[in-house]
Amino acid sequence: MWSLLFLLVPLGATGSVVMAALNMPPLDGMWVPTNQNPGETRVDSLVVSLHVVSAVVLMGTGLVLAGIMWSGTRPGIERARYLTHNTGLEILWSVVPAGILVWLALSQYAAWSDMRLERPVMQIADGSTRNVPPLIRVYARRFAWEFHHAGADAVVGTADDVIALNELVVPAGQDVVLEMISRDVIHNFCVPSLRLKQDIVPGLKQLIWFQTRVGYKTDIVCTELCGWGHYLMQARLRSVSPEEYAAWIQQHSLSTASESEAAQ
Amino acid sequence: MNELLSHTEMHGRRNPLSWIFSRDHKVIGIQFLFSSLLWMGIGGLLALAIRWQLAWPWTEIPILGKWLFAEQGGQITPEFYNVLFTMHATVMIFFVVIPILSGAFGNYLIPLMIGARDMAFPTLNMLSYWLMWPAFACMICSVLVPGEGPSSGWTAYPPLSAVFSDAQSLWAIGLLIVGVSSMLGAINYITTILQMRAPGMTMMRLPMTVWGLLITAILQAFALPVLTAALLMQLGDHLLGTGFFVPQYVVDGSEAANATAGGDPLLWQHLFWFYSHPAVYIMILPAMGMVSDMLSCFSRKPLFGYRPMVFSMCAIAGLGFIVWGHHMFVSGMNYLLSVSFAVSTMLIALPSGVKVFNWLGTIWGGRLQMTAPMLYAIGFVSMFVIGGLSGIVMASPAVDILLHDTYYIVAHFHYVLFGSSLLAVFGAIHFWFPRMFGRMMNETVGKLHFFLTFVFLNGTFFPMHFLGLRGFPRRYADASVVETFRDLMPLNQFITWCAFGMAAAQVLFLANFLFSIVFGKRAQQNPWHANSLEWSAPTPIPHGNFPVIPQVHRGPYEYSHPDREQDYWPQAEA
Repeated sequence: MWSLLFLLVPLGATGSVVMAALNMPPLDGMWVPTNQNPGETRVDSLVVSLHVVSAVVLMGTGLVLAGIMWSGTRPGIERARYLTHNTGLEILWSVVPAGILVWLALSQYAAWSDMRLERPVMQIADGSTRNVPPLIRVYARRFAWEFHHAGADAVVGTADDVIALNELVVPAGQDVVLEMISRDVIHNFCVPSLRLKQDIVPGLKQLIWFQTRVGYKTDIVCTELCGWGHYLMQARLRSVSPEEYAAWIQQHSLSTASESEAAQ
Repeated sequence: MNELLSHTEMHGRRNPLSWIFSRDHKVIGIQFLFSSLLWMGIGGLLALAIRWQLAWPWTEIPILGKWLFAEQGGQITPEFYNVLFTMHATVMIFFVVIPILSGAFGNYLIPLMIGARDMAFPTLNMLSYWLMWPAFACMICSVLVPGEGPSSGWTAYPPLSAVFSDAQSLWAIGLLIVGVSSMLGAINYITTILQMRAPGMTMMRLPMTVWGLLITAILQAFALPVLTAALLMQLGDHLLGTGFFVPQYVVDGSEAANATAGGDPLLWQHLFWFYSHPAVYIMILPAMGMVSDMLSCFSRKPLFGYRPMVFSMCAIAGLGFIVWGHHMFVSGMNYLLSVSFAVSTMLIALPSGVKVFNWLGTIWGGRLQMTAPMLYAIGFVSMFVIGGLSGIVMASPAVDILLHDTYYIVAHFHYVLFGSSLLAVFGAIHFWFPRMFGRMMNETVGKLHFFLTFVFLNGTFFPMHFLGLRGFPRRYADASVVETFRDLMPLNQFITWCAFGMAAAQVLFLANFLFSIVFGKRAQQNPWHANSLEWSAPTPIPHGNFPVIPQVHRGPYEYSHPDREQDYWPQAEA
């Protein structure tokens, strides 16, 4: 009877994960959010393949466990088998998992490389390439996000920057590089659907990059504990076409300029 | 020592001080057991308050709310929510899981299982328990600091932890004292196991419980100094104006005073995880050992692959020292370093997997006795597989970008710490209760408690994987304020209902435990027909444990030996 309870573990766990992955009710919408960042597709298949491997191992061990329990509790077993080891079996169940784990460790490398090791580059006139420069500088502070957009000079940190609070407007369809700085404690810039999550450590400048499609809107959240208002530290991300972005910058740099003139 | 006296015979009933300040390892073990169980209740209540807030944010907490938070209309504040999860983790890790495994069972079982009269250093042993009380006091005081309370998580990442100086300093001092207590225990265990084994008790005849405790003690001895140093440095930052971990002296706004301190917040993370990742294994290796002993006994079969079991424990301990960086994939640590930490983390799954296969091999072909301790032990294996597999998923840095600091992580470590370690603890309490208290715990109530705990723990922790996959961050006081996560509220409520069910089931355990101490059925000397030496000691076990130090003739797992009619063969029997 108890073997049935233990049988439910792999069945229930695998079943619910499959339902979530295939978007089946009642677990629809319980998988990783649809990827909106065309630059990071490899990680999605990695999530699936790691869960497939896990589900196979869980089903295998779970069924064996339940089977062993069922057979070991049948009435009429007079004596257990005196069995201390089985060298062949032990070598098999060490070598095969070792192979699988090494394969997993090596095969997941590409997704990480895509995400973090290969910074986006741009072609310049003489045919050579250089890194895409940061377009927006993000200042994180308890409990708000400041976004400093490069103004007409296309360089962040200059007088013509456009500053927005808790709203990040980005041009769609191109690599956007953010330079992130914390003004106080550690924060984390997280957008699940863009596959972004990066701590912002005071004293360090962090770069992060992504692409989006036109018209996408989502939440930016802080996922590193930063104090009582941690859960309130959020911003909206809105992507617009590059033309609209340029217009937005121009419009706001004018207003920023006039504001600073007024202040003077 | 020709005649050994029981504790009461030696000191008389009228002198409770002799019990309180006993140097007898058995008494100290039971003291650790009682205080850990008490703290488990407190830690559990903290967890329920967290769950209440996540399911029904900013509503009045039933019963305790009116009393504790009268000024805020019975609801908690966001500041206090952070104190809740900080203290839940601190209590459960440092006051429950580590002391109950190493303190309670380590103390009680090591001398008995190796055939020694006591620990090598009985006074140090007593001190290791009594140092826990100043630590308890520091932690309680830290919560009572007006207007603050330690609220930067159990990981206490600076510079955030520098904001709450008084409470955080008390918290760090409390943790330092716990560390000293563990260190005293660890020195004692290593010395006792290496030096005081009975004749014939070779290292390869030690029960797995003793192996688990030995390797745990070695881990503690090597990892704790790093935590201690890091805590002292953090205290220096709080109290002496040093700048080990803070880049600037004043955080939180007032920029005028932002003098450069030159510290590095990542340094704390490296030092902290250099201790705290091995601590993960400190919290499971003794449980693995105890489960191995219970599975073998109730399958009436030798432990399958004794040597690989020992070697895999050693491998887990060794690899455990070089995987800490997997807590830091998104921290801003060098991205190439993440690659090597990912590989070592994947590899640590191998010895863990070997252990699971050996446990399956142990019960395979056995004559299984489905006692309550056996159910907990099998429950451990079943839950450990889930916790281990989710660990492999998160070991990939790219996938960790999605899962880091989400409820997927919370699900993972609760499967390992609650689903595995604490189920093993429940099993061990049922299993060794007859030795500890001379009585049996009620089997039916034990099985019912197992069933309810097992069902509700899965109901509580499994859905957290889905919250995490959706990206729902941990340490959020209220999910409903973020549009992306608003639809997760019903699932959060379901989890909370299951958590309440699980808490209610623990009342059964508590009642069974307390009732059985007084009214339980009197236990025979060896009620489970087990082999290891603790079952050969007289009933009740006197000071000094054994009238004559036993001679050990064989390993502890000779069950159903073909040369013998009985299906067990105690280690001390000629």
